[in-house]
Amino acid sequence: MNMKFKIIITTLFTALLMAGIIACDVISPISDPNRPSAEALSADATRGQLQSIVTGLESRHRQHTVARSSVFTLFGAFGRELYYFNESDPNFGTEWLQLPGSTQAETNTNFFVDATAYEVPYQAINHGRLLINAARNSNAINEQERNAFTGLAKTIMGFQFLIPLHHQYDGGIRTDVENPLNPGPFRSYSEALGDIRNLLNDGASDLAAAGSTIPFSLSSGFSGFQTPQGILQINRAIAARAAIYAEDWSGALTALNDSFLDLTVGEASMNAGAYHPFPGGDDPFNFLFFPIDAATTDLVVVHPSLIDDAEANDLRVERKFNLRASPASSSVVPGVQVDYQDGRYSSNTDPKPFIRNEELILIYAEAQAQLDNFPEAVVAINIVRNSWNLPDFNSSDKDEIIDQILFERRYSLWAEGGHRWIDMRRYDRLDEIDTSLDGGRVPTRVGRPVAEIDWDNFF
Amino acid sequence: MQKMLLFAVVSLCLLFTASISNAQNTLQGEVIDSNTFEPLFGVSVLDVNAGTGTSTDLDGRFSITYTGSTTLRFSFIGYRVQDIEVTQQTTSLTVELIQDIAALDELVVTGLASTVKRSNLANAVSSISARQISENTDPVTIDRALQGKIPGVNILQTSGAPGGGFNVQLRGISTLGAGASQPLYIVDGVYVDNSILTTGRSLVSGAGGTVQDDAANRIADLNPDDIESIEVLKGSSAAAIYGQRANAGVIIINTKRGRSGRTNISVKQDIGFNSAQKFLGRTEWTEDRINTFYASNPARAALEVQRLNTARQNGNVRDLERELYGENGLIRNTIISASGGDNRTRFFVSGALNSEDGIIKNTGNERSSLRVNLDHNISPAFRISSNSNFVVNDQDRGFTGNQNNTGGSIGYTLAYTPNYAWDILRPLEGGNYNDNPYFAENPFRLRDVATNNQLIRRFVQSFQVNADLYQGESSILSINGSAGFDYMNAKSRIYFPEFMQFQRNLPLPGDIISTRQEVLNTNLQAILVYNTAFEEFDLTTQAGFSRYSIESQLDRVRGQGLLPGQTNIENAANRVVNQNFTESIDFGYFAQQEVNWADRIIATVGARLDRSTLNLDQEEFYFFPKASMAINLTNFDFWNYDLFNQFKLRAAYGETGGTPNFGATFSSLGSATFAGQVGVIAPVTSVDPDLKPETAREIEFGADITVLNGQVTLEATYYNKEVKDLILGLATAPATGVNSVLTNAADLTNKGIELGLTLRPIQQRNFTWDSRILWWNNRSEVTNLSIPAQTVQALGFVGFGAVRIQEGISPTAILGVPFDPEGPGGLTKFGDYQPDFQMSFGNDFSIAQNWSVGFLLHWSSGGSNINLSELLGDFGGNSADYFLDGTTPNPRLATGLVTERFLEDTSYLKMREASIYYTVPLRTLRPVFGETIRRIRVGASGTNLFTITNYGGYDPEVNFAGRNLLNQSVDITPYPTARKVLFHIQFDL
Repeated sequence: MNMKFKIIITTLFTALLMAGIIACDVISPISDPNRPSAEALSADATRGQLQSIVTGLESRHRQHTVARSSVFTLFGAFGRELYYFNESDPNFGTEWLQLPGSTQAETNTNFFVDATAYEVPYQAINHGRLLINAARNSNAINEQERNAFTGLAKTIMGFQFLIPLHHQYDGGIRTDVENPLNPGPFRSYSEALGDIRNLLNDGASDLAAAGSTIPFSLSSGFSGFQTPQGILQINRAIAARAAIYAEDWSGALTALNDSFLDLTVGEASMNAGAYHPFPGGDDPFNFLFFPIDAATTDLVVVHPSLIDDAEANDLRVERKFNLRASPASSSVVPGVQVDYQDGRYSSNTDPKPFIRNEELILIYAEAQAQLDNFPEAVVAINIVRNSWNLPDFNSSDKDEIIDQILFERRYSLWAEGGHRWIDMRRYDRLDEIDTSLDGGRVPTRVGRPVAEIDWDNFF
Repeated sequence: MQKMLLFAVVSLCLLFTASISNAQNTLQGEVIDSNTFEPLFGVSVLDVNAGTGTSTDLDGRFSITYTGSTTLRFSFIGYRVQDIEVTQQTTSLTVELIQDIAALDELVVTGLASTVKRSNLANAVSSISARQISENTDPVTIDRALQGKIPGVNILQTSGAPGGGFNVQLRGISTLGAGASQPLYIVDGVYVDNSILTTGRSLVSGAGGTVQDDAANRIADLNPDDIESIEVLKGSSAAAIYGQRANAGVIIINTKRGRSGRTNISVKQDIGFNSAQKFLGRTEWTEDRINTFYASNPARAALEVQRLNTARQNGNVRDLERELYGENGLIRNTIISASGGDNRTRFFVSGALNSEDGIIKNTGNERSSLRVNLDHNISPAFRISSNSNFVVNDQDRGFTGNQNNTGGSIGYTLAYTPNYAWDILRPLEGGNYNDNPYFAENPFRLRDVATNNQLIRRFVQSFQVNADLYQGESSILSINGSAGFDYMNAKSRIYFPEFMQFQRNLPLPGDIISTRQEVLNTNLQAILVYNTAFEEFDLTTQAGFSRYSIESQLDRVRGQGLLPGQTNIENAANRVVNQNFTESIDFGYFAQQEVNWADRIIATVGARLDRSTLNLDQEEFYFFPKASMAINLTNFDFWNYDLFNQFKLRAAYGETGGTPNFGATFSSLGSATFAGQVGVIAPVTSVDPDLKPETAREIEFGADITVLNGQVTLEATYYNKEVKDLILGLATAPATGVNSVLTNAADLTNKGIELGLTLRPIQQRNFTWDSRILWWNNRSEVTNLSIPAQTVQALGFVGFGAVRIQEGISPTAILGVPFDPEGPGGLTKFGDYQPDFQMSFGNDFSIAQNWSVGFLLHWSSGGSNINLSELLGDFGGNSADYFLDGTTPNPRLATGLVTERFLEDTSYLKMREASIYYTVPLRTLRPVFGETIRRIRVGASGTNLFTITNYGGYDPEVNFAGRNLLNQSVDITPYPTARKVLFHIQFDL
C-alpha cells in the first residue's frame, strides 16, 4: 500500500476516533422514565406538577383514616368511646383495651396496629416537605402563589404532627425531619407542641401574603375554604386546637378570631368545617360506614357508658348511635354486650370531617372559662346544646363549667380522633374513665417505636 | 581503511541479497502429528515476511511460493507453533507438530485488543475450547456447557425446565442484590444481554414476585455449537479492563471463523431423549394408612377409603409422579455449517435446529439459529469482519415451583394428591377433567390446558475493523474498531382458561397475561494498539474508549374474567396494564501497557475510567486500575532444570465496579387517585446523596508448572476478592416518613484457592489418555457493615431459610429457628449455601486412533439447602417415607416447623457428561466416497447421567427464586432434572 494512502487512512481513523470520543462522551442525564421523579419536581416544577403534589398532599392527609383499624378506633378504644370488634385478631381487645395479660402500652415498642398514629402521619409530613421544596424552587409561580403552596403545606403538616404527639405524649416526638439520614432529636411534649404551633404560625403568615386566589384546586372537602383566606381560617382553627393543648387560653381566642368560628345555633353550623371526601369509584371508601345490624366480625360499637350517661332527647345520640336489632358481642371483648353501633355515616361515600365549627365553639367556651369569663363560656356551651335540642346549662363555677365542656366534647366530638382520651389526659382525669365493663385499663401513651430506638442506638 | 572495506563488503552483500531477493521459490511440504504421524489438515502456513499464507489439505500437504529467505510459521489449534526458516534452496519440508497439551501457546485475551500466549499470562484465565463445549455432547445452553470445567466458578442450575436457567457465580458473592450478580458476556467483541425477561407466571400462580417466573436467562439463545473458544475472566484482577460492569467477572466468547482453503461443510444430526433422572416415590395408600392420616376426621377417612377402593376396583391406582414426570421427551438437533474462503475472504455459516421435549408433557424448547461470520481483507493491512446471528427461541417451561391458592404448580399439587386419585383426575373423553378434591387444581388439566410460553426473536450483529496504520521495522500501530448491537423481541403468554377449577371459584374466572418486551443493547469501541520491539523487549501499548447503551420497553396486559375460549384481552372483564422502560448509557476510557522481557518477565499495567447513567452521579468517572506480573523462570539463563517446560510465578491485582440496577438511584414518586384527580406521593424510599457504585478489588497469586514435555501441568491460584461499598437499604427512623435509604453500607470478602492438574498419563500411538482434575473452594464473609445488621428471609416464615448481613459471618450462611438469643439476629446458624469445596475429574481417551471416549465427573462437597418440597409432601401425606412400614408415621413428622427439618446437605457426585465416538478411518472412507466426504463420526453421549447424593429432592442444584444470590438454594417442588441420552452422526464434507 503506498505511503499516501496510508497517511490518508491514518488521518481518517484518528479523526474518526476523536470524533467518536467527543460524540460519545456527550451523554444527557437520564431520569426515571417510569415514574415522576422527586429530583425533577424539586428542581423546577411546572404548575401542573405542583397541582399533582397538592392532590397527593390531600391524599396523604386523608391516609390515616383509610381503614377501620385506624387512629380513630385506636384512640377511641383508649378513651372508651367505643370498642372495635374485629374477629380476625383478639389483640384489638387485649392490646387496645390493655386487658389483663396484655403488654403494657407505655413501654411497648411494637404496639399492635398503630401505624396510622405514627408512620402514616409522618409520611404526610414528608409529603408536605416535598410540596414546600417544590414550590420554593419552581420558576413557574410568583411569590404570592408560592406562599399559597407553602401555607397549605404547613397547615396540613401542623395538623398531622399532632397525631404522633398524642400517641407518644410525654415520650416526646421528633419535629425536625428534614433529612432522612439525620433526623432531629426527640423533643419533649411541650417543646414539640411549641414547634408545631410555630409551624402553624409560619403557615398563617404565608397564607396572609398569598393574595386572594389559590393557584391550585382542592377537593370538595375544602369547599367554602378555597381561597388563601379560607385556608388561613382552617390554619387558625388547628392553631386554636393546639393552643388549648398548650394551655395558652388567650392564644386560643386570638386564633379563633381568625378562624371560621361561627357562634350560631343549628346543626348546619355545628357541621361546618373541612372534610376528607370519599367519592368512591377508584377512591377508597369511608370505612366507618356500617349498615344497620352489620356483622359483628368487623364493627365499631358505642361504649355503653355513653348511652347510660346521655341526657334525654340529645340529638347527638340519634345522629351518631344506631340501635341494633340485637346486641353485638365479640370474642375481642369477652363478656360485653353492646346495643349501639357507629351510625354517623349513611353511606360509604360520606365525607369525614377533620375539623368542625362545633369543636371551635367548645374551644372558645373552654378558653373563656379558663380565663374566668364564665358568661361567655356558658353562652357558647348553650349554642352547642341548643343545636342538639338540649336545654340551656347555667353555672358560674369554673369546675362545673369545665366539667360541662368536657361532657359536651365527649358527645360532640365522639370518635373523631380520640378527643375523649386526649381531653381526659390533659385534665389528669384518665382514672375517671370507666373500664369496669371490659376489665382493662387506659394507657397514658404508647411506647416509642423500636425502629426509632434502633436508629438512636446505632447512630 | 578497514572501515571502508567493511562497508564495501556489506554493501556488496546487500546488493547480492537484494538481487537474490527478487527470486522466487515454490516449496512443497507436509505437516504431520509428531506422535501419531497422521497428516494434519487445515494447518496454517504463514510466510512471516510477506504476511500471506496457505493451509494444508486433506493429506497434510501444502504448497507455498515466497521470495528470498523467510520464516514459515506453522500453527494449528492444539499444537505448538513452529517457526522454520526457509531459503530459495529449500525444496521440500516435512514438519512434525507437537501437541500443546499444556496449551502453552494458546492465545488468551488480556486487554481489549491484545492477546497473550498462555505461557506468558499473569492471570488465572480459564479457557474452554470448542471441543470441550460441543464436540462431546450437545449442551442446550452455554452456561450448562461450562459446568464442572472451570475452577473457582459455582454454576447452579435453578430449574430442570427445558431451555436453561442458571446462576453463574465467579469467585463467590459479588453483590448483595443491588447490582448485577451475573458475569458480563461478550461475544465477538459485543456485549450481549443475559438478563431474564419476566413472563408474569408468578402473578397468575400466586407465587409472589417475578423472580419466581422460572424464565431462562437469555444466554440460552446462543447456540453452543457456534463457539470456537470461551475465556473466563473470573475476578477483578483479570477483568479490570472491563471496568464498572465487571464485578461479577467477564466471559468472553469467540465464535467460529472461516479458514482459507477448501470449503468444508459439516452436517450433524443428533437424536435422543430426555427422561427424569430420579423419582422420589409416593405413599402407597392402604385403608389403615388412610385411617391413620385422617384420624381426626373419621367422615373424611371413610370417604377416602371409599375412593381408594373404587380406584382399586377400576384398576386406577397409578404413581402420579411417574404419570406427570415420566415422559420421554424427544430431542432432535440438526446442525449444518460451512466454512471456507481464501486469503482475502473467509466465511463461516451455520444453521441449527435444536428441538427438545421436556419430561412433562407440553413442555419443551425449540431453538432455530442462523449465523454468518465473514472476514475480509481489503488489503493485508486493512481487515474487516462481520458476525451476524439470528435466533428464534420458543420455550414452554410449564408450571412448577411455588404457588399460592391457585393450584398453579404441578409439584405442589402432587404433594397433596394421593396416587389413587388417578381414578378421579385422569383425563377423560372429549378433553374433560374432573376437579381435584385434594387441592385447588387437577394437575393433569393444569398440564394440558394452561399455557406458559415465551418466544424470543433475537438478532446479534457485530462489526470489526482492524487497520495497520503504520508499520515500521519492528513496530506496528494499528487501530481496532468494533461496533455491534443485540436486539431482542420477546413475547410471552401465561394463560389459565376460565374453566379451570380454581378460576371458576373466582369472581372473574380466566386469567391471561400477555407481555411484549423489546431490548436493544448497542456497543461501540475503538482501540489504538502500538506494538514495538527493541532488544529483548516487546512492548504493547493500547488505549481506547468504549460506549455501551441498553434500552428496553416492557408492555404487559393482563385480562381477568375471560369469555369461554377467548384469549383476546379486549374481551376480558377486568384489564390491568403495566408498562416499564429502562435506559442506560455507559462510557469509558482505558489504557494498558504491557512489557515482555524475552518471555521471562511479562508485566502489565492498565487503567479504566468509567461513567454510567446508572450511577447516582451520572457524570462522574470512576477509576479502575490493574497491574500484573508473570515470571517464567524456565526462560532465564540460570534455570538449568530441564525437567520443567514451564515454571511460572504470577501475581495480579485489579479493581472493577458494579453498577446499581436500573431505577435504584431514582427517588421516584408514587401516584394516587384522590377524588377523581391523579396526584403524586412523596417517595417512601430515599437515596443517599453520596451514593457510590460498588467496587471490587482482587489480588491473585499463582503458579503454573509444566513438566515432562507438557504431559503434566499444575496450575495453582489463591485469590482474595474484596467487594466494597455494597449498596443496601438502611431502615430509617419512621419519623422521617421514609422507610429506607439506599446507601453504601457493607464490605465483603471472598477468598479461595483454585487448583488444576492437567495430565496425559498415557501417550501411545494407539491409546492416549488426557485427564484434567480441578479443585476449588470459596469462603465469603461480610467484613464491614456500617448500618444495623439485617436478616433477609427467603419466604414469609423465618424458619424457611434466612441469611443475615452482619459483620463477621458469611452472607450465605443459613439461619433459622429455633431462636437463639446468642445467635446472629437471634436465630440459630446452620450450614452455608455455598459448598465447602468442589472438584471435577474430566477424562478423554483416544483409542485405536478412531475411538474417543470421554466423561466428566463433578463432585461438590458440603453446603446445604432448604428442602421445602418434603415439607409439602408431609403436609399432604404423600412423601415417599411418610409411613415407615404399616402405619407407623415417620418420626420427623413430629418435629414441627424447625429449620433443621428442612436443612439438607447438598453434597453430590454427578456424571455431567459422558460420550463415546467412532470416526470412520480415511482408509475405509476414501474408496467409497472419494474426496467428497472427509470424515464421518458416529457416537452416543449423555448429560446428567447419574447423581450420587444423600439429598432427598430431585436435584441438589435448585432454587425456587431463580438467580437469587443470598438465599440461593431453596427447593419448592421444582421441575425435575432430566437425564439426556443422545445419538450423533456427523458428516464433514
